[in-house]
Amino acid sequence: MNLAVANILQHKIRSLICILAVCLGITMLLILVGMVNGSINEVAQRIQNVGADMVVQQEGATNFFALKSGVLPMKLIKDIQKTPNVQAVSPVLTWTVTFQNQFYVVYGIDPGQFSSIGGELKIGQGRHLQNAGEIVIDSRMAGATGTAVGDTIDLLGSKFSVVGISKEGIGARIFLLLTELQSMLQQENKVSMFFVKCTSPQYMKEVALDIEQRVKGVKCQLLENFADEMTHSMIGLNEFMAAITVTTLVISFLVILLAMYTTIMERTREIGILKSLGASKVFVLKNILLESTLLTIGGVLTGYLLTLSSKYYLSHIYPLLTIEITSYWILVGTFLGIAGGILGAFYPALIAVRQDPVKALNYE
Amino acid sequence: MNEKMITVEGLTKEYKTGNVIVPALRGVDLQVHRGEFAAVVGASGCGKSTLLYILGGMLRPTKGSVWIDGFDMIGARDASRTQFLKQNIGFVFQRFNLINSLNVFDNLKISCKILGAMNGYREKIDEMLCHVGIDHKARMKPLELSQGEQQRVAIARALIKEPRILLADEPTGNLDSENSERIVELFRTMNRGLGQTILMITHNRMLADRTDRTFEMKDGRILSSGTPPRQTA
Repeated sequence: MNLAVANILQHKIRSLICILAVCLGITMLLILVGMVNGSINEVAQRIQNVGADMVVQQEGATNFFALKSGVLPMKLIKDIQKTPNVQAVSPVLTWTVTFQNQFYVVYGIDPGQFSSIGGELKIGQGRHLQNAGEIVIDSRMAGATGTAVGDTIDLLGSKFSVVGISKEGIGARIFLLLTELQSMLQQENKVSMFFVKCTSPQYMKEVALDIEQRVKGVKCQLLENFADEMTHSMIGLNEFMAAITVTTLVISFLVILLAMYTTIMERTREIGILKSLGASKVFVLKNILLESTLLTIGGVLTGYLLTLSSKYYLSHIYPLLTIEITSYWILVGTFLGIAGGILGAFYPALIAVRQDPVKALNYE
Repeated sequence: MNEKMITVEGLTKEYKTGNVIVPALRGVDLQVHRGEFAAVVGASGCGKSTLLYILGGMLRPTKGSVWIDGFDMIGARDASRTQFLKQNIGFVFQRFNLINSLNVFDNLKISCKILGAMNGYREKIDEMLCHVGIDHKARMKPLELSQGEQQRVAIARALIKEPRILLADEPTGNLDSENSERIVELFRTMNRGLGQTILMITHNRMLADRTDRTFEMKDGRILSSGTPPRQTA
């Protein structure tokens, strides 16, 4: 058996703690980053799935539509519709509500205009919106909250009848008539944004510039790279991700440093023995680094298993939560775990290499 | 037989403890011939082990020179001394110094690995374990063996790389008289069978008398050397 493997097996508790600590670091990284990316991408994907080519918002608005409400006058629709190569426009008023302690974005839409931009709600059960006091919810919300067609739910202090359940993944999770939402929010003739469909995708940039020139105080956001731009527009997100990444590296580094330092102290005599057998510095160094690499690989692999289990568990507890574990972040996690481990083992390994063999052999 | 294998001249070693200088070796001169089985005898603290560690390249002297089979152990650079030690010198210690996380077989295997001699190592290890009479315990961990058995494993580990010189530091110090006899007998067999030069440190006069030549050491000096009575006869 290899010396590094034998040492790992010889000190089972220490090895286990070491693996567990690296594992927790990796799990923390993948789950937190997965939750952030999953939530952003899921929202962005739903916006992109509306089918429009661009969205017109107030200048300076964020990409998080739910954070604002009626800020644009409804009458702007005429100016936008008159822009050359614009095929259809759908005004949308957004709002946020809580239902069963969960946060939801609501779209107030005109069903006809919404489907004209490609955002047709595919109704799986029930029917489309027709009258005031009706809402359509998506299948994921229906599944998570146990709501069915015909149920009545309280939103914004009013009772709504669920008339349809749409396929998930388009726009928001709750839809009601635009005029009704405007009235409830006392924002008549105001909307949050306009989804715009061009006659052909090749005109998108041209149309966007044209709208910005015709309508003062608005900006056009193309939806083709919406997810990336949404991520970049989030202040502090990159710093947050960097903080998690560095924390993982530091945890891995410190755990392995402590474990390997203790190991080296415990194995002073063994290092003396290796030197008395004629082992070179490289041989001793390689063995210690191999041991720490094996421990961190064990931690990384266990971390993946724990991440998958946590993802499965969290998805059951919070059905609306999207955790996205990408191969990119798996590679980042692997690299950080192993790099932290090797860096952490390097200093103890250097101590081992420099040990006086005679003192080491007489170490009690 | 009269070809010089180990030549030590004017070897001095001083340890510093704060401002106090403690001499361990005070100008040791010594010669051991190729294929000789020699012993250094003396009381505890007379400098025997210090001498052995310097001969094995593990300790640097304050003054003096050590030549082993023509190789300058003191003047050589670290890397070449390590290389020489790896290829030519085998150590056997009083406390066996086996790696307790490895089994008997793997303790010998690591010696082959350090030497870079992994061709046919399984057969070689089996043969060596057979030679020292411990082949039936190859898969056991050192702490599962008796002290005599552990020392035989340590000897097998030292011999597996076929060193030209075997340095043994009180190899019977932790053993009863029966096991001590067996170990010295094993050394004698190796010395005669493989022609290895053996230098054994011991405070046991009776065991020293089983060697070809003894060096009497006291207070860091070689007082005398000679052929033990039994060998003379």
